[in-house]
Amino acid sequence: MRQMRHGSPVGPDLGQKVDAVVLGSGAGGGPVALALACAGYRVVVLEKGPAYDQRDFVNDEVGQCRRDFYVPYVSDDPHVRVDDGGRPRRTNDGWTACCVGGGTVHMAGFAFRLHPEDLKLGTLLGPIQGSTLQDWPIGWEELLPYYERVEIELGVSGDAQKNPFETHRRPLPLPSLPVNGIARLVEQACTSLGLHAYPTARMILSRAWQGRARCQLSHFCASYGCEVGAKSSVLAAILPKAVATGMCQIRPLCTAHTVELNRQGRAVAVRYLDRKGNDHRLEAAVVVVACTPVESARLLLRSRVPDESGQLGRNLMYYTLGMGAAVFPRSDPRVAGIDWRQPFVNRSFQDLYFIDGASSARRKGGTGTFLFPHANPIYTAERFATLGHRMVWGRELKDALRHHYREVRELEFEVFSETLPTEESRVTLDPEVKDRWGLEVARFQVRPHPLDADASRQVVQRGLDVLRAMGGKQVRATRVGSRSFYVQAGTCRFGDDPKRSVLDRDCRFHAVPNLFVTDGSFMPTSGGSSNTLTIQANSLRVGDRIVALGRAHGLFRRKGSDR
Amino acid sequence: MAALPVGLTAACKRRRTPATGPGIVEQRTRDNGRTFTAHQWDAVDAACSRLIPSDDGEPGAHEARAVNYIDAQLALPDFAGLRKMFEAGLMQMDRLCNGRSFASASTTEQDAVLRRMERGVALGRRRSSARFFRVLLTFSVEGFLCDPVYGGNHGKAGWRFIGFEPRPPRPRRPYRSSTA
Repeated sequence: MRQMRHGSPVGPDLGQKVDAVVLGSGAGGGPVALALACAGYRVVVLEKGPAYDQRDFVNDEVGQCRRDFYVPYVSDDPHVRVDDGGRPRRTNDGWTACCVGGGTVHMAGFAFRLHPEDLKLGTLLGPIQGSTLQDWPIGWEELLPYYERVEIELGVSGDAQKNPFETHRRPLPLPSLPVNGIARLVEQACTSLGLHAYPTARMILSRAWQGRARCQLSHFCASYGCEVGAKSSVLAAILPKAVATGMCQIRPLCTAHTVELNRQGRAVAVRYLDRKGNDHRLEAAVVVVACTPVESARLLLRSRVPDESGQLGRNLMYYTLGMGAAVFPRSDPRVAGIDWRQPFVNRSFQDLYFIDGASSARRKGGTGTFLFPHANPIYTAERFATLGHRMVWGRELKDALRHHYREVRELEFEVFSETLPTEESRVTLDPEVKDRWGLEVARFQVRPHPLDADASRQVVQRGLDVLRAMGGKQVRATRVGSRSFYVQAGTCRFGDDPKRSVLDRDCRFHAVPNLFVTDGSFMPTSGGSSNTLTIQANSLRVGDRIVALGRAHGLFRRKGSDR
Repeated sequence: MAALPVGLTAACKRRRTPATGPGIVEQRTRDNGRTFTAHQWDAVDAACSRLIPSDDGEPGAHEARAVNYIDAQLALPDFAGLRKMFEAGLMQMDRLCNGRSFASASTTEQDAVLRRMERGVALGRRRSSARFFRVLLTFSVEGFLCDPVYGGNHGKAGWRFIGFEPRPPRPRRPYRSSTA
């Protein structure tokens, strides 16, 4: 029963010959599907994972955060990660989420834009030894309108105009979410240190928007789907509109495994397996790949798509993550009067987005964001029991829990900082390991640039300064320069030179005129914040470009087609 | 034409989670475990009681019936691969008690055995007890703090200990993987 619901196609049956097929239904796939469906093209979205809906999103930590609800088990669908010592290991690192809506379903919903300078880092920072840093082929003026459009489509809340480092021409569509009283203490401490704390933009509704309910302040955003649809995921905000056009069908539990090219070098069809493992062939005039950088590279390598540059799969970027924390005794008069049911802190600073050293050249830093540690009880206990430097159990574990839950309040910050692209951070096909369908899995390795950890350390230091200025106790850095693979970029970077880039400025393969990639793969640089909003803005942009190319060059014209 | 359900219908139909019902993991005892023999049941229960003890009159993993949770989890296809490790690990714990059963050893002795398991002794040719210990500790924490539909956190003992108030909507039955 339950599986039938998760596996049923959504939208009209469009058959096995369509105008466009989109592989993946997340941040990269959803907006382009919407743009194409709105322009009147028949679009099928193939999604490897199930179609969950709001009834499936319950506050069940074991089921939703600790099993294969979003990310497959290593035994079913492994990746192979080559560690720093060169040893290949099976892992589920590198999966974001396998379900309709992708990672936007369980994300925390931070809606950062890039800065105009991010598109010109190659020029601004000059050549950096060991990095393949280069400028984007498009300018800020081409991206900005799509940020504004996607922020309205999704429903983004916040007050980015308070951030002196970001240039918003007009306010975000929704006002900031209500915040916990501790946000004021964060602001005061930041001001005293010369930092500019501002209300973080969130893909969470502070008011009802386009028929969706506002946030109920349930405390469980990250790692969970929103049971009222107030989180502006692709599932809640984008796909229903695409389906409502009558021109888009979503097929869950369908695993695309090959893009078929003809002798003239055009993509003609996609082959995919249904939930029972039966092979299907779907013909399409346009093929859009949006499976996340690791998985898109795997699919394109498997399909032997021609790439003159030799860069397909290279320049894999992820997020360089730093974290710090402090506690405040519950008896502390400054925090005693606060209503702790209020889950959002929602204050970020971007004063170290660029770091100008006294003696060194200008470098890229990142964004610091204050938030509460995740409220999941098992995860909280696990932080003490098994995730520290040593195992803690027995009386010591219970005392740690008593202290945490009865005596203090804890505040954290996260730092997302730039990951410089390197050629040896890359995805290939594993020569041995297969998934449960017998398909070669993605093998990846990361070779971080030494400057990444240094930038992370500098931003973390400023975060710790803030916690100290707030009067926090046990102020400590918990992560510096560590790697998070939920957010990925690179592997098919775009550019004007076919010898140095995989895709052209329209995110289309230089050598295949009807094959596009719209997830984070196109990004030549990763930005100093999470890239979900940027992927969605670009996906809408590419949707418009496909429509324009279709009109100008007959992209959708096929034999026997009336278009 | 089906549409993705958007809106408030799901939120409005919140129901209280029943204590029993189809799919909810029932409470069993040492004599009718799903995967554990009575002997293994006692050993796991004793180990959980040391990892998350009942102290100062406050409940631990024993009162939360973490052993029932672990027994039910190991019966799932998801964790078929762990059953052999548990067999070997529990046998090793008995061996370290010099022939007596782990469950009947004194708490001081049990703690010493668990510390040796944590540091790592060989389990067969390829495994170390350190991984088994880590899985046992993780499962104990889950069994202490999971939603009661999973057969642990009995009477919300773990949640009451940390003062956690679950928010609706809560699960009506345990999650079952669709691929396993």
